Amino acid sequence: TAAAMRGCVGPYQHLLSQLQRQAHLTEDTSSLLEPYIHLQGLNTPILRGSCTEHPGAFPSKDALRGLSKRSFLRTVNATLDRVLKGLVALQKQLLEQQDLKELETARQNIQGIRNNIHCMSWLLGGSSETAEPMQTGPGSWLQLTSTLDVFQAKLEGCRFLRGYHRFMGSVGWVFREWGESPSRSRRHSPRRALHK
Amino acid sequence: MDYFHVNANYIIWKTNHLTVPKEQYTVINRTAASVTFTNLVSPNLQLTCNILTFGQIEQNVYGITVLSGFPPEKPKNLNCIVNEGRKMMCQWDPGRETYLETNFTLKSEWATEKFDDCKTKPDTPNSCLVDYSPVYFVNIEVWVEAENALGNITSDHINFDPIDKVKPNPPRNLSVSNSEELSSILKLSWINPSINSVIRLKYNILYRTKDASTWSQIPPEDTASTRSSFTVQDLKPFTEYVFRVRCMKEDGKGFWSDWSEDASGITYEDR
Repeated sequence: TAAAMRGCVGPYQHLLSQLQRQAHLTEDTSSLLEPYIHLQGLNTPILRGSCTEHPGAFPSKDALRGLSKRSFLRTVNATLDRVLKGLVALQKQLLEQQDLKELETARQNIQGIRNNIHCMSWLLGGSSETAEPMQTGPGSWLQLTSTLDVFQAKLEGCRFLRGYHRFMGSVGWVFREWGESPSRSRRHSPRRALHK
Repeated sequence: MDYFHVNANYIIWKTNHLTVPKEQYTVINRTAASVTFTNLVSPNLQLTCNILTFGQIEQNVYGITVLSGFPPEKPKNLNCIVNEGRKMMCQWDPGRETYLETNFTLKSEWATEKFDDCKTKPDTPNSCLVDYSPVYFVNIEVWVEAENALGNITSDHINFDPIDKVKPNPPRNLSVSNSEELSSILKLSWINPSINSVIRLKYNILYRTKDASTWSQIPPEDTASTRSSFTVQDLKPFTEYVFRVRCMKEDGKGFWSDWSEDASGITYEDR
Protein backbone atom coordinates (compact mmCIF):
# COMPACT_ATOMS: atom_id res chain seq x y z
CA THR A 1 0.00 0.00 0.00
CA ALA A 2 1.05 3.61 -0.46
CA ALA A 3 1.22 4.08 3.30
CA ALA A 4 3.63 1.14 3.66
CA MET A 5 5.64 2.57 0.75
CA ARG A 6 5.82 6.02 2.37
CA GLY A 7 9.08 6.55 4.06
CA CYS A 8 10.77 4.18 1.61
CA VAL A 9 13.09 6.26 -0.49
CA GLY A 10 14.77 4.79 -3.54
CA PRO A 11 16.60 4.72 -5.66
CA TYR A 12 17.86 1.15 -5.58
CA GLN A 13 21.53 2.16 -5.38
CA HIS A 14 20.95 4.46 -2.39
CA LEU A 15 19.08 1.79 -0.46
CA LEU A 16 21.61 -0.87 -1.38
CA SER A 17 24.42 1.39 -0.18
CA GLN A 18 22.59 1.86 3.13
CA LEU A 19 22.16 -1.90 3.53
CA GLN A 20 25.84 -2.47 2.75
CA ARG A 21 26.85 0.15 5.35
CA GLN A 22 24.50 -1.34 7.93
CA ALA A 23 25.87 -4.84 7.37
CA HIS A 24 29.37 -3.46 7.72
CA LEU A 25 28.45 -1.82 11.03
CA THR A 26 26.79 -4.91 12.46
CA GLU A 27 29.37 -7.46 11.36
CA ASP A 28 31.93 -5.64 13.52
CA THR A 29 32.35 -7.73 16.68
CA SER A 30 33.42 -4.65 18.64
CA SER A 31 29.84 -3.41 18.29
CA LEU A 32 28.44 -6.15 20.53
CA LEU A 33 30.35 -9.43 20.98
CA GLU A 34 33.53 -7.91 22.38
CA PRO A 35 31.76 -5.76 25.00
CA TYR A 36 29.71 -8.85 25.91
CA ILE A 37 32.82 -11.01 26.29
CA HIS A 38 34.42 -8.47 28.59
CA LEU A 39 31.25 -7.91 30.60
CA GLN A 40 30.75 -11.66 31.11
CA GLY A 41 34.35 -12.41 32.03
CA LEU A 42 34.92 -14.62 29.00
CA ASN A 43 38.03 -12.76 27.91
CA THR A 44 40.57 -15.60 28.08
CA PRO A 45 42.08 -17.55 25.16
CA ILE A 46 40.43 -20.78 26.26
CA LEU A 47 36.97 -19.29 26.75
CA ARG A 48 37.27 -17.36 23.51
CA GLY A 49 38.13 -20.63 21.85
CA SER A 50 34.87 -22.11 23.13
CA CYS A 51 32.86 -19.17 21.89
CA THR A 52 32.20 -20.57 18.43
CA GLU A 53 29.10 -20.30 16.30
CA HIS A 54 26.66 -23.19 16.57
CA PRO A 55 26.72 -25.00 13.22
CA GLY A 56 23.46 -24.36 11.45
CA ALA A 57 22.24 -21.70 13.84
CA PHE A 58 22.52 -19.09 11.09
CA PRO A 59 22.40 -19.51 7.32
CA SER A 60 25.85 -19.98 5.81
CA LYS A 61 27.32 -17.52 3.33
CA ASP A 62 27.16 -20.02 0.50
CA ALA A 63 23.54 -20.75 1.22
CA LEU A 64 22.72 -17.03 1.25
CA ARG A 65 24.62 -16.46 -1.98
CA GLY A 66 22.60 -19.15 -3.67
CA LEU A 67 19.25 -17.47 -3.03
CA SER A 68 17.22 -15.25 -5.29
CA LYS A 69 17.14 -11.64 -4.19
CA ARG A 70 13.67 -11.92 -2.74
CA SER A 71 14.36 -15.17 -0.91
CA PHE A 72 17.55 -13.67 0.42
CA LEU A 73 15.68 -10.63 1.77
CA ARG A 74 13.04 -12.82 3.36
CA THR A 75 15.64 -15.05 4.94
CA VAL A 76 17.61 -12.15 6.37
CA ASN A 77 14.40 -10.54 7.63
CA ALA A 78 13.20 -13.74 9.32
CA THR A 79 16.63 -14.46 10.80
CA LEU A 80 16.92 -10.96 12.20
CA ASP A 81 13.49 -11.33 13.74
CA ARG A 82 14.83 -14.32 15.65
CA VAL A 83 18.00 -12.40 16.50
CA LEU A 84 15.85 -9.68 18.08
CA LYS A 85 14.10 -12.30 20.20
CA GLY A 86 17.50 -13.71 21.09
CA LEU A 87 18.75 -10.31 22.19
CA VAL A 88 15.69 -9.87 24.40
CA ALA A 89 16.32 -13.27 25.95
CA LEU A 90 19.99 -12.39 26.36
CA GLN A 91 19.12 -9.16 28.04
CA LYS A 92 16.69 -10.81 30.43
CA GLN A 93 18.58 -13.92 31.32
CA LEU A 94 22.13 -12.79 31.50
CA LEU A 95 22.38 -9.13 32.09
CA GLU A 96 19.75 -8.27 34.64
CA GLN A 97 22.28 -6.93 37.02
CA GLN A 98 24.53 -5.39 34.41
CA ASP A 99 24.01 -2.87 31.63
CA LEU A 100 25.18 -3.43 28.06
CA LYS A 101 24.20 -0.32 26.12
CA GLU A 102 25.55 -1.89 22.93
CA LEU A 103 22.63 -4.31 23.13
CA GLU A 104 20.11 -1.50 22.66
CA THR A 105 22.18 0.01 19.84
CA ALA A 106 22.32 -3.40 18.15
CA ARG A 107 18.57 -3.78 18.54
CA GLN A 108 17.96 -0.39 16.92
CA ASN A 109 20.36 -1.14 14.08
CA ILE A 110 18.65 -4.46 13.42
CA GLN A 111 15.28 -2.71 13.34
CA GLY A 112 16.82 -0.30 10.86
CA ILE A 113 18.10 -3.11 8.64
CA ARG A 114 14.68 -4.74 8.67
CA ASN A 115 13.15 -1.42 7.67
CA ASN A 116 15.52 -1.15 4.73
CA ILE A 117 14.85 -4.76 3.77
CA HIS A 118 11.15 -3.93 3.77
CA CYS A 119 11.84 -1.02 1.43
CA MET A 120 14.16 -3.05 -0.79
CA SER A 121 11.49 -5.71 -1.08
CA TRP A 122 9.07 -3.02 -2.15
CA LEU A 123 11.55 -1.75 -4.72
CA LEU A 124 11.99 -5.27 -6.06
CA GLY A 125 8.21 -5.59 -6.27
CA GLY A 126 7.37 -7.91 -3.39
CA SER A 127 7.08 -8.00 0.36
CA SER A 128 9.59 -9.19 2.89
CA GLU A 129 7.01 -11.12 4.90
CA THR A 130 4.78 -13.05 2.52
CA ALA A 131 6.61 -15.97 1.02
CA GLU A 132 8.36 -18.65 2.98
CA PRO A 133 11.91 -17.67 4.00
CA MET A 134 14.69 -20.22 4.04
CA GLN A 135 14.55 -22.24 7.23
CA THR A 136 17.74 -22.11 9.27
CA GLY A 137 19.15 -25.48 10.22
CA PRO A 138 18.47 -27.51 13.35
CA GLY A 139 21.32 -25.73 15.19
CA SER A 140 20.78 -24.87 18.85
CA TRP A 141 19.26 -21.40 18.67
CA LEU A 142 20.21 -19.63 21.88
CA GLN A 143 18.89 -22.21 24.34
CA LEU A 144 19.16 -20.08 27.42
CA THR A 145 16.83 -22.37 29.18
CA SER A 146 16.80 -22.71 32.93
CA THR A 147 18.56 -26.10 32.59
CA LEU A 148 21.82 -24.40 31.71
CA ASP A 149 24.02 -23.23 34.56
CA VAL A 150 25.08 -19.61 34.61
CA PHE A 151 28.42 -20.24 32.95
CA GLN A 152 26.89 -22.37 30.19
CA ALA A 153 24.26 -19.74 29.61
CA LYS A 154 26.98 -17.07 29.25
CA LEU A 155 28.82 -19.24 26.75
CA GLU A 156 25.59 -19.84 24.81
CA GLY A 157 25.09 -16.10 24.60
CA CYS A 158 28.62 -15.72 23.29
CA ARG A 159 28.12 -18.40 20.63
CA PHE A 160 24.86 -16.77 19.60
CA LEU A 161 26.51 -13.37 19.14
CA ARG A 162 29.46 -14.93 17.32
CA GLY A 163 27.00 -16.40 14.84
CA TYR A 164 25.09 -13.13 14.54
CA HIS A 165 28.20 -11.15 13.58
CA ARG A 166 29.34 -13.81 11.12
CA PHE A 167 25.85 -13.89 9.61
CA MET A 168 25.88 -10.11 9.15
CA GLY A 169 29.29 -10.40 7.48
CA SER A 170 27.81 -12.88 5.04
CA VAL A 171 24.81 -10.62 4.46
CA GLY A 172 27.15 -7.74 3.72
CA TRP A 173 29.06 -9.91 1.28
CA VAL A 174 25.89 -10.70 -0.65
CA PHE A 175 24.79 -7.08 -0.70
CA ARG A 176 28.19 -6.10 -2.09
CA GLU A 177 27.74 -8.74 -4.78
CA TRP A 178 24.38 -7.16 -5.59
CA GLY A 179 26.20 -3.91 -6.03
CA GLU A 180 28.59 -5.40 -8.50
CA SER A 181 25.89 -7.09 -10.58
CA PRO A 182 22.57 -5.30 -10.00
CA SER A 183 20.76 -6.92 -12.95
CA ARG A 184 21.99 -10.52 -12.64
CA SER A 185 19.47 -12.36 -10.46
CA ARG A 186 20.84 -15.51 -8.85
CA ARG A 187 18.07 -18.11 -9.10
CA HIS A 188 18.86 -21.30 -7.27
CA SER A 189 16.69 -23.93 -5.79
CA PRO A 190 15.01 -22.14 -2.83
CA ARG A 191 15.39 -25.00 -0.39
CA ARG A 192 19.14 -25.65 -0.71
CA ALA A 193 20.55 -27.38 2.36
CA LEU A 194 21.98 -24.97 4.90
CA HIS A 195 25.31 -26.53 5.82
CA LYS A 196 28.67 -24.80 5.77
CA MET B 1 -35.02 44.01 32.62
CA ASP B 2 -38.65 44.83 33.44
CA TYR B 3 -37.68 45.89 36.97
CA PHE B 4 -35.27 48.49 35.54
CA HIS B 5 -37.56 49.18 32.53
CA VAL B 6 -34.72 48.62 30.08
CA ASN B 7 -34.15 46.56 26.94
CA ALA B 8 -31.31 45.67 24.53
CA ASN B 9 -31.12 49.23 23.31
CA TYR B 10 -29.88 50.34 26.73
CA ILE B 11 -26.77 48.08 26.61
CA ILE B 12 -23.34 49.67 26.84
CA TRP B 13 -20.43 47.44 25.82
CA LYS B 14 -17.02 47.93 27.42
CA THR B 15 -13.61 46.43 26.73
CA ASN B 16 -11.16 46.65 29.61
CA HIS B 17 -13.47 49.38 31.08
CA LEU B 18 -13.44 51.46 27.90
CA THR B 19 -16.73 52.06 26.18
CA VAL B 20 -17.04 50.48 22.73
CA PRO B 21 -18.18 52.89 19.99
CA LYS B 22 -21.94 52.61 19.25
CA GLU B 23 -21.20 51.88 15.57
CA GLN B 24 -20.12 48.40 16.61
CA TYR B 25 -23.39 47.59 18.38
CA THR B 26 -26.19 45.56 16.86
CA VAL B 27 -29.59 45.27 18.56
CA ILE B 28 -31.03 41.96 17.47
CA ASN B 29 -34.32 42.27 19.34
CA ARG B 30 -35.69 43.55 22.63
CA THR B 31 -33.68 41.07 24.63
CA ALA B 32 -30.64 40.41 22.45
CA ALA B 33 -27.73 42.54 21.25
CA SER B 34 -24.28 41.93 19.81
CA VAL B 35 -21.00 43.80 19.38
CA THR B 36 -18.51 43.34 16.56
CA PHE B 37 -14.74 43.67 16.65
CA THR B 38 -12.92 43.53 13.36
CA ASN B 39 -9.33 43.83 14.46
CA LEU B 40 -8.71 42.82 18.03
CA VAL B 41 -5.22 43.98 18.86
CA SER B 42 -5.12 43.00 22.46
CA PRO B 43 -4.99 39.21 22.80
CA ASN B 44 -6.62 39.27 26.19
CA LEU B 45 -9.79 41.33 26.58
CA GLN B 46 -12.29 41.87 29.38
CA LEU B 47 -15.64 42.40 27.60
CA THR B 48 -18.55 43.60 29.79
CA CYS B 49 -22.19 44.20 29.04
CA ASN B 50 -23.67 47.06 31.05
CA ILE B 51 -26.96 48.97 31.19
CA LEU B 52 -27.92 52.45 32.26
CA THR B 53 -30.63 52.14 34.84
CA PHE B 54 -32.93 55.05 35.38
CA GLY B 55 -31.02 56.74 32.56
CA GLN B 56 -27.93 57.38 34.68
CA ILE B 57 -26.76 54.57 36.89
CA GLU B 58 -24.48 52.19 35.01
CA GLN B 59 -25.14 48.65 36.06
CA ASN B 60 -22.86 45.73 35.01
CA VAL B 61 -24.90 42.80 33.70
CA TYR B 62 -22.25 40.33 32.68
CA GLY B 63 -18.60 40.01 31.60
CA ILE B 64 -16.28 37.56 29.86
CA THR B 65 -12.59 37.30 28.98
CA VAL B 66 -12.09 37.18 25.26
CA LEU B 67 -8.94 35.37 24.06
CA SER B 68 -8.27 36.34 20.51
CA GLY B 69 -5.51 35.27 18.21
CA PHE B 70 -4.69 33.48 14.97
CA PRO B 71 -4.74 29.87 13.84
CA PRO B 72 -1.21 28.47 13.47
CA GLU B 73 0.64 29.11 10.21
CA LYS B 74 2.26 26.23 8.31
CA PRO B 75 5.63 25.55 9.98
CA LYS B 76 8.42 26.13 7.46
CA ASN B 77 12.14 25.44 6.94
CA LEU B 78 12.05 22.22 8.92
CA ASN B 79 15.57 20.85 9.38
CA CYS B 80 17.27 18.41 11.70
CA ILE B 81 20.77 18.00 13.13
CA VAL B 82 22.44 15.04 14.81
CA ASN B 83 25.12 16.23 17.14
CA GLU B 84 27.57 13.33 17.32
CA GLY B 85 26.88 11.10 20.28
CA ARG B 86 23.60 12.82 21.05
CA LYS B 87 19.99 12.65 19.93
CA MET B 88 18.52 14.32 16.88
CA MET B 89 17.25 17.89 17.23
CA CYS B 90 14.85 19.34 14.68
CA GLN B 91 14.08 23.02 14.18
CA TRP B 92 11.55 24.96 12.12
CA ASP B 93 10.07 28.38 11.59
CA PRO B 94 6.80 28.40 13.61
CA GLY B 95 5.30 31.32 11.69
CA ARG B 96 3.66 34.44 13.11
CA GLU B 97 2.71 34.92 16.75
CA THR B 98 -0.74 33.41 17.31
CA TYR B 99 -1.44 34.99 20.75
CA LEU B 100 -2.96 31.66 21.74
CA GLU B 101 -1.52 28.56 23.38
CA THR B 102 -0.20 26.70 20.34
CA ASN B 103 1.20 23.17 20.51
CA PHE B 104 3.86 21.95 18.08
CA THR B 105 4.46 18.21 17.71
CA LEU B 106 7.38 16.73 15.82
CA LYS B 107 6.41 13.46 14.15
CA SER B 108 8.92 10.94 12.82
CA GLU B 109 8.68 7.49 11.30
CA TRP B 110 10.35 4.86 9.22
CA ALA B 111 8.39 2.92 6.63
CA THR B 112 8.00 0.15 9.20
CA GLU B 113 7.99 2.01 12.52
CA LYS B 114 6.48 5.12 14.08
CA PHE B 115 8.49 6.90 16.76
CA ASP B 116 7.13 8.67 19.80
CA ASP B 117 5.83 12.19 19.22
CA CYS B 118 8.18 14.95 20.29
CA LYS B 119 6.18 17.71 21.95
CA THR B 120 7.81 21.12 22.19
CA LYS B 121 8.15 23.01 25.43
CA PRO B 122 6.23 26.33 25.67
CA ASP B 123 9.46 28.32 25.78
CA THR B 124 10.91 26.58 22.69
CA PRO B 125 8.04 26.27 20.23
CA ASN B 126 10.36 25.94 17.23
CA SER B 127 12.56 22.98 18.13
CA CYS B 128 12.40 19.51 19.62
CA LEU B 129 14.97 16.97 20.79
CA VAL B 130 13.70 13.46 20.02
CA ASP B 131 14.10 10.84 22.73
CA TYR B 132 15.51 8.01 20.66
CA SER B 133 19.04 7.51 19.41
CA PRO B 134 19.72 8.13 15.73
CA VAL B 135 19.98 5.02 13.57
CA TYR B 136 22.26 5.68 10.64
CA PHE B 137 21.67 4.42 7.10
CA VAL B 138 17.91 4.30 7.51
CA ASN B 139 15.81 7.03 5.90
CA ILE B 140 13.43 8.70 8.33
CA GLU B 141 10.42 10.86 7.52
CA VAL B 142 9.87 13.88 9.75
CA TRP B 143 7.23 16.62 9.89
CA VAL B 144 5.66 19.08 12.33
CA GLU B 145 2.02 19.47 13.35
CA ALA B 146 0.88 22.78 14.85
CA GLU B 147 -2.41 23.15 16.71
CA ASN B 148 -4.32 25.72 18.76
CA ALA B 149 -7.95 26.55 19.56
CA LEU B 150 -8.46 28.02 16.10
CA GLY B 151 -7.10 25.14 14.02
CA ASN B 152 -4.25 22.83 13.13
CA ILE B 153 -1.83 22.56 10.24
CA THR B 154 1.05 20.32 9.11
CA SER B 155 4.46 21.24 7.73
CA ASP B 156 5.94 19.70 4.63
CA HIS B 157 7.50 16.29 5.27
CA ILE B 158 11.25 15.86 4.93
CA ASN B 159 12.87 12.49 4.37
CA PHE B 160 16.57 11.92 5.06
CA ASP B 161 19.22 9.56 6.39
CA PRO B 162 20.42 10.83 9.79
CA ILE B 163 23.97 10.15 8.67
CA ASP B 164 23.56 13.13 6.35
CA LYS B 165 22.64 15.43 9.25
CA VAL B 166 25.60 14.79 11.51
CA LYS B 167 27.56 17.54 13.19
CA PRO B 168 30.73 15.73 14.25
CA ASN B 169 32.53 16.49 17.45
CA PRO B 170 35.58 18.66 16.75
CA PRO B 171 38.99 17.08 16.18
CA ARG B 172 40.85 16.99 19.49
CA ASN B 173 44.38 16.91 20.87
CA LEU B 174 45.59 19.18 18.06
CA SER B 175 49.39 19.34 18.23
CA VAL B 176 52.04 21.17 16.19
CA SER B 177 55.59 20.00 15.51
CA ASN B 178 58.38 21.68 13.53
CA SER B 179 61.09 20.23 11.33
CA GLU B 180 64.80 20.79 11.79
CA GLU B 181 65.42 20.08 8.13
CA LEU B 182 62.78 22.44 6.78
CA SER B 183 62.24 25.75 8.50
CA SER B 184 59.19 26.63 6.40
CA ILE B 185 56.90 23.83 7.55
CA LEU B 186 54.92 22.83 10.60
CA LYS B 187 53.17 19.48 10.96
CA LEU B 188 49.72 19.34 12.56
CA SER B 189 48.37 16.17 14.16
CA TRP B 190 45.01 15.53 15.79
CA ILE B 191 42.61 12.82 16.87
CA ASN B 192 39.48 12.46 14.76
CA PRO B 193 36.02 12.23 16.36
CA SER B 194 34.77 8.65 16.77
CA ILE B 195 32.08 9.16 14.12
CA ASN B 196 35.03 8.71 11.76
CA SER B 197 34.44 4.95 12.08
CA VAL B 198 31.13 5.46 10.30
CA ILE B 199 31.71 8.39 7.93
CA ARG B 200 34.64 9.79 5.99
CA LEU B 201 35.61 13.34 6.90
CA LYS B 202 36.97 16.49 5.30
CA TYR B 203 38.54 19.43 7.09
CA ASN B 204 39.05 23.18 7.28
CA ILE B 205 42.37 24.31 8.69
CA LEU B 206 42.96 27.93 9.70
CA TYR B 207 46.28 29.44 10.70
CA ARG B 208 47.80 32.80 11.49
CA THR B 209 50.98 34.12 12.98
CA LYS B 210 50.74 34.63 16.69
CA ASP B 211 50.34 38.40 16.43
CA ALA B 212 48.08 38.51 13.38
CA SER B 213 44.35 39.09 13.78
CA THR B 214 43.19 37.55 10.55
CA TRP B 215 43.25 33.87 9.70
CA SER B 216 44.43 32.21 6.52
CA GLN B 217 42.86 28.96 5.37
CA ILE B 218 44.49 25.91 3.83
CA PRO B 219 42.83 25.34 0.43
CA PRO B 220 39.87 23.05 1.15
CA GLU B 221 40.80 20.79 -1.77
CA ASP B 222 43.99 19.94 0.11
CA THR B 223 42.04 18.69 3.12
CA ALA B 224 39.12 17.04 1.35
CA SER B 225 39.59 13.50 2.71
CA THR B 226 39.93 11.70 6.00
CA ARG B 227 43.29 12.30 7.70
CA SER B 228 44.74 12.88 11.14
CA SER B 229 47.66 15.09 10.22
CA PHE B 230 48.63 17.80 7.76
CA THR B 231 51.88 19.56 6.93
CA VAL B 232 51.57 23.29 6.43
CA GLN B 233 54.19 24.68 4.05
CA ASP B 234 55.56 28.05 2.92
CA LEU B 235 55.73 29.43 6.46
CA LYS B 236 58.21 31.99 7.69
CA PRO B 237 61.19 30.59 9.58
CA PHE B 238 61.46 31.02 13.32
CA THR B 239 57.90 32.32 13.62
CA GLU B 240 55.09 31.27 15.96
CA TYR B 241 51.86 30.20 14.29
CA VAL B 242 48.44 29.37 15.71
CA PHE B 243 46.23 26.70 14.16
CA ARG B 244 42.68 25.40 14.46
CA VAL B 245 40.86 22.65 12.57
CA ARG B 246 37.28 21.53 12.09
CA CYS B 247 35.66 18.66 10.18
CA MET B 248 32.48 17.51 8.52
CA LYS B 249 31.22 14.61 6.38
CA GLU B 250 33.39 14.25 3.29
CA ASP B 251 30.52 14.60 0.82
CA GLY B 252 29.47 17.91 2.33
CA LYS B 253 26.21 16.60 3.80
CA GLY B 254 25.63 17.55 7.40
CA PHE B 255 27.22 20.30 9.43
CA TRP B 256 30.70 21.51 10.22
CA SER B 257 31.95 20.58 13.66
CA ASP B 258 32.93 23.33 16.04
CA TRP B 259 36.54 24.42 15.77
CA SER B 260 39.14 22.44 17.66
CA GLU B 261 41.02 24.14 20.43
CA ASP B 262 43.82 26.30 19.05
CA ALA B 263 47.34 24.93 19.03
CA SER B 264 50.53 26.79 18.26
CA GLY B 265 54.07 26.01 17.17
CA ILE B 266 57.24 27.76 16.04
CA THR B 267 58.98 27.06 12.75
CA TYR B 268 62.65 26.13 12.94
CA GLU B 269 65.38 28.71 12.45
CA ASP B 270 66.68 29.20 8.96
CA ARG B 271 70.20 27.76 8.31
